[in-house]
Amino acid sequence: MNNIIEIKNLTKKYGKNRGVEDITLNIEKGEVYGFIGPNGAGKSTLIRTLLGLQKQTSGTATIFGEDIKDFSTKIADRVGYLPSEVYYYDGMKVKNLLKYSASFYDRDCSQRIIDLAKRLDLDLNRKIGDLSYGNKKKVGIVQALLHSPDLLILDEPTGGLDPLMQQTFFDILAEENERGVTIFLSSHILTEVQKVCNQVAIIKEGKIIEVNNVKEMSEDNYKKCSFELEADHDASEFANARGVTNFKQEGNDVSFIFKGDINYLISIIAKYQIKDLSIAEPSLEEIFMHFYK
Amino acid sequence: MNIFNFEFKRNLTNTIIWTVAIIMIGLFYTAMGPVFLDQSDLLYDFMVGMGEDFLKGLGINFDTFFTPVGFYAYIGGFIGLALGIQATIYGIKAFVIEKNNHSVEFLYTKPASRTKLFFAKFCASGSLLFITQVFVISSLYVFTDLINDVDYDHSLMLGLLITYIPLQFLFYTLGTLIGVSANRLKNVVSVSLMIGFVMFFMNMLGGIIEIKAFDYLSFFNYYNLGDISLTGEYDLNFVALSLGLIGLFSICSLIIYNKKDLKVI
Repeated sequence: MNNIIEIKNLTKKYGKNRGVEDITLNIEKGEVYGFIGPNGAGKSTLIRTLLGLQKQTSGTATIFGEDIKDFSTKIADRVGYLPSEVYYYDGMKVKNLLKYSASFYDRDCSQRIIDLAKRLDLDLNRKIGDLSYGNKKKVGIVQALLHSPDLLILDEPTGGLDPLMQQTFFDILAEENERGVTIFLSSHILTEVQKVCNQVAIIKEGKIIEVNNVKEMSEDNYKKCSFELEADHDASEFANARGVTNFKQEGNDVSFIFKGDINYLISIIAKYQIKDLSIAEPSLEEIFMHFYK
Repeated sequence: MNIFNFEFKRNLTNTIIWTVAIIMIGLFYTAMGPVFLDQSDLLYDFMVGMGEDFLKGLGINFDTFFTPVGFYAYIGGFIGLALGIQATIYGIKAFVIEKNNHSVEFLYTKPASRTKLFFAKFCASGSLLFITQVFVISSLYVFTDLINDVDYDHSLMLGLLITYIPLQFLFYTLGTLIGVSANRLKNVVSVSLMIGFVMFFMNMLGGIIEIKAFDYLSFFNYYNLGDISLTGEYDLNFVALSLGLIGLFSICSLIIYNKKDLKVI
């Protein structure tokens, strides 16, 4: 079995309100899979449904080949989950919460807790209620990783972490991935998805609108074009051209995102006298905006 | 067992406080018994003036009131009220506390089925209530024996005290049902007080105006201490009804706990 997560036509509705619709997705073993979309697009809904926190309206999904309908202890035993908002028992000390968390697993997690806490600079003797948001997030990271899961499901994982700690966290993720852990990560911070993921799915209004390899998505399909016209021409022909989005013209400066046959693009540009031309790989953020405009 | 231990330890201090408080209230009321018995002639004249309906509402029966058991049948209702409120709070709190502080995601994503979680929580709070019952019942039984010089039916006294066990579990399972059904409930104490007092006053009103429905709506009437002290036996219909309701509330709670979606924060 190569697919760790298999989702087929999964729909979750809240009464008449949309959650996610007709999601089909496969995540293979060892992949770092990014799931991007703005707030309210349905990222957390999908994750919460996968985790059995809510029942799907229709469709099926399996994790490690097990149906999520009966999110069995067998699945949960191999999954580490970090929610976007971390809430624990405020009156407890960090070490007691982590001990309680570890008590659910049939293995000794004590050394792993100490190691992770050390790397994340987390004080185990403090009360949860006294921690800042960032430190609570660190507790969340440790409790998601302490049992050495085979699948990590991370919902907006870096919120509240400072840049140095984010780097440490990404290093930990890379190490986990090296030892074969599959990672499913949702985010609206596109640079972090670009940094750590090799596959990406874009969700818009509850539906998956694009699934691609991160590298291919930015290298092969999309081009970020900008050029400076020699004279004050109207370049609005580009706005209507096939494969062009995010068209902007400010004076002689023209920019847009292009997806398609590069020869077609060159044939249109050739109609104009231009001073300068740049065709580059767009950032994931620019691709993302392309889908949302 | 880890969930049971966690839940048990989390509520142990509260249980000690509740148990001590209820015992203190019980001892205070029980201590008044010998005084009432000594002054029975004086009190009889005074109470007759209150009117039959009023006395009925208070659950006072002159045939038994001036005996240790009869007096306890009267004051025991207040102890039952306190125990009922405690049980309702425990039932609701066990299942809304994580929803209130949003930590339920932590629990639900652990390798423990919802059924296992339910039973661990249900049994932990239930065990703590049982501890309260053992201490309250034994304290009041011993204390009543110590302070009364007159002879009385000890087994009947124990029979009255033992009714607290099903009474508490009725309130506990009702609280559990509310706890699993609510998405969030911040005012656990207020809701529990309301349930306890409404049922208590319904029982009193039922005694005065004799509305049959009130007999069924108030758990306090299922184990009417006045009637038990008078007849020396339980009303088996109500015993069956109370056990049926405990079972029904528990099963419904388990089903809802298993089926319910976790509300999005």
